[in-house]
Amino acid sequence: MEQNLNQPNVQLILNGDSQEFSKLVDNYKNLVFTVALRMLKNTEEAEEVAQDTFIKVFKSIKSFKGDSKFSTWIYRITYNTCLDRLKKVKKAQMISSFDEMSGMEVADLRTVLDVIEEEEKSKLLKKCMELLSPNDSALLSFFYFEEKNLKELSKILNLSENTVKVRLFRARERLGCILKERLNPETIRNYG
Amino acid sequence: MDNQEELEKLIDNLMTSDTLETPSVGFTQKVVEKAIEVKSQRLEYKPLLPKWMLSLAAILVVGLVVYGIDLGATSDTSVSYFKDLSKIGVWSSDFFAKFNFSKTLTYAVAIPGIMICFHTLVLKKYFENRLA
Repeated sequence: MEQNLNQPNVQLILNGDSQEFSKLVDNYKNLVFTVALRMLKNTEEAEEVAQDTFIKVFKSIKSFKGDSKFSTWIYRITYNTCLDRLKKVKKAQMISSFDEMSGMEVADLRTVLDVIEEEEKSKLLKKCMELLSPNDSALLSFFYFEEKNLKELSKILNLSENTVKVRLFRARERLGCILKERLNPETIRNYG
Repeated sequence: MDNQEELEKLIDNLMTSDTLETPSVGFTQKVVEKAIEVKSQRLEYKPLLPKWMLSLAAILVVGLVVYGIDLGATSDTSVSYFKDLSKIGVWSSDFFAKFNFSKTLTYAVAIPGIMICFHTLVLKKYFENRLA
């Protein structure tokens, strides 16, 4: 799940070493692109925003003070660039109402997920992510791909740790509800 | 609370199947090329004033110096060009003394000025924070 990240040599990049910069891009491009895609829900736009993110990183690498992890800094730029793009194209922030899930429903879903094949589960998850709001999908992606670190996540999103915790809980609930809706009720009944 | 924990476990389990998306094949190359382009644009020297303006200013300065030297050599020593230059200060103070601005006008100009300076500081801090 985690990316293998070697901390890039900032000084070399500042000195114009394009090899070092391409190493940086290779290290972070997948998560940057994944978050952009999940927030913008469009491959072309996501690729454009991911490129913009790295150009911003290149332009402002001098201002990286090192008081946070390099990855946190890059992901913060990614998140802000995506938000800017969303504002620019005025995409509606999908916030759908959802019912709280009962313990029984959660247990049923768990049973179904336990028997579904890994590949199918991955496909199902991607479909559900597409239906989540940009903020929820970014939050879950950063959290699960970045060592489940609340402190770093709060720095990326510029929120307090408590707020992140609450938002994370809500995002999980929304994902659970979408999952329940996506799965055929008969499938749940058969496996549950 | 138990329900929350159950849901958390369920999503944790589901998210283990999550995989990262990959951008197009030439993505890194495209970004590096763009970065090189940005860097070369940054290094390109762009004078603040165009060349013709600099040439005109140089001609004017040289002209004034030559005129001053010439005037100094031909005229009476008490009326020197450099003495004339000092009169500009007197003229400008007389000229500006004729203007009388009302207090309202002064405040109307000063307050937006102060506001702009303040906003510049706030915006600078905001953008620095966003990129930091």
